[in-house]
Amino acid sequence: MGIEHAALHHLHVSPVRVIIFLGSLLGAMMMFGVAWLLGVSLSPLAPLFVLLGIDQVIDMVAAVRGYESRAVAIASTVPEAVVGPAALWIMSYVAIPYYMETHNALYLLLAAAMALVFVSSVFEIAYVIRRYVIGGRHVALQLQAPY
Amino acid sequence: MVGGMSLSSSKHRTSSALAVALSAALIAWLAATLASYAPTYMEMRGIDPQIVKMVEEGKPVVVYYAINTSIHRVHGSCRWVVGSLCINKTVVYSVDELRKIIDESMAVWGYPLKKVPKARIALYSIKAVYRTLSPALGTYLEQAVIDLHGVAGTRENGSGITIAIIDTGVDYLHPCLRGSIKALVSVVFDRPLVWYVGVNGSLEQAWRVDEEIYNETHGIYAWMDQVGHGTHVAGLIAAHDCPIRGVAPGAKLVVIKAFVGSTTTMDRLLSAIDWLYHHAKQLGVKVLSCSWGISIPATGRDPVSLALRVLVEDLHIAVFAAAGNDGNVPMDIEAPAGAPWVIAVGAWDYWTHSLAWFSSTGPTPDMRIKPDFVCSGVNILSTYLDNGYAVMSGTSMATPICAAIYALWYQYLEERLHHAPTIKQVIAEMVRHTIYRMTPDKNCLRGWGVPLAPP
Repeated sequence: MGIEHAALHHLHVSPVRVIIFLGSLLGAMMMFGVAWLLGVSLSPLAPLFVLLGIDQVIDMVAAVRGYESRAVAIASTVPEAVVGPAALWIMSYVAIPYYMETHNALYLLLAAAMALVFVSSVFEIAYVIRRYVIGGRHVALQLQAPY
Repeated sequence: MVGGMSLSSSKHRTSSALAVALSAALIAWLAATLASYAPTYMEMRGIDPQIVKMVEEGKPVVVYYAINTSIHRVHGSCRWVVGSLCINKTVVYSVDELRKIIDESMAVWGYPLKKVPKARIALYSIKAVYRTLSPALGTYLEQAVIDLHGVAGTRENGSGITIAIIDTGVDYLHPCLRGSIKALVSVVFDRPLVWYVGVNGSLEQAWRVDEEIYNETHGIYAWMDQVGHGTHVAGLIAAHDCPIRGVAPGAKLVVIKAFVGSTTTMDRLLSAIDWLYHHAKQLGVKVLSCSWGISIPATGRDPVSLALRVLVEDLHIAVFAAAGNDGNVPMDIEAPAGAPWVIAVGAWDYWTHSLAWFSSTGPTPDMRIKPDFVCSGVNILSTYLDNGYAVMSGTSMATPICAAIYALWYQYLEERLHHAPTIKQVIAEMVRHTIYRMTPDKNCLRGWGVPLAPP
């Protein structure tokens, strides 16, 4: 059994779901926060971030209960392609430079939170692709092939 | 067995139907949310929904609106004309009036009658004022500008470049600034008052006219600085032949007085930009230094930023603006520094080798990385009122330094390329020659870092 197989097996266990849940929770806070800031400046992008926030809430529920259907799973995972890079952007362009300049631990916390949101996005995409798009056994067999 | 299969199939059908119903509900919910949050026609044009509500309630609202004259016909006159932009201001009492304006305009901005935003000079503090300056103290304090930005080693002095300043005026009789001033402009009265040095007369003659204006207006000089801020800014660019030197002592200045005290209205700023647009070519203005800011969301969606955009795009004038002195907190960059076409300047503390603690930082509310550069802005020595000198701090001080460094690079590239460089070319050179850059890329605190003068 390859390392990848073990990792895929672990996607079913609670730690991954916990990471997805926490990442989605922080992601929802981040998205609603950004939507509020954009709303204050009357940016037309604000509604997009409201939707992304709602998507994160759906992901939180899904991390606990599972998705209702394959369509919902895929639809609610597509926005992760925005949430993940957004978290990475905030971490590398805002949180880390601010921490380096001000040495305020809050910015370090923000960087860690954004890293968690990013990791959770990656996990969620991997989980949904494996579970709902390709199918676990097929992927596991493919990944095992080099071994 | 058959019954079990049937039961399982029925169960499956029920769960599928439930999933479809849930998906449909989810999509409906998302669509409803999108519809309720989607920006309305008015919001898209910069009108705050609160303002629309106020108009609906019958409360008067001040509205600025810009018409693109190359697309729409203008009914009536234009208060400010900047390129193809016709900007007007009116007080609106009804939604119908507001709708009519929105239909004709490319951009509309509304503010409550008593809360129209004002611009404020980006001065953080005045530490000391000297009537006379000992050479030793001058040399010591000058390090913050001359040493940090490598100005002492450069062969360029900004000659042939004209820099415009929109500020509190200038003490044009100051011995350090004599010979640097090309034109004095005032937009603090109804019409712009202009004094072309050498054409209308000498600076002493300008002073005599200014005194008459002062007596007639009961205390407001047309061109003379009454705050000290504009004189300090002008000295940082062009001071020469005195105990201190500016960054580009060979540059010429066009000083537009738009501030009487430490604040001014958007109307005066628009008048200043309007005047500059129509005279910049004739005066050869290449750079504009704005050591002030407006505390509104800095997305470039305000009348002043839009007018500055025309200066940049039509006349290729590089506009430098102070980031603000609101502290190292995300998203506190002021307008117009936050606009994408304006170069935002933060303050660097030479004495502690760090970002000045008061310097405003990015990103902008629409997630763009600002400021663009940081220049020396803490305990900066320059010229002051009554032939004196002052030590001041603020992004106000950093802005003219960056503008002057741009002028040096402009001169450097013009000599080598044998034609006028573009703003992008000059900025690219400045970016290549920076120090104290924290990250390889531009970041929200130091931008591209501290720019150096050309070698």
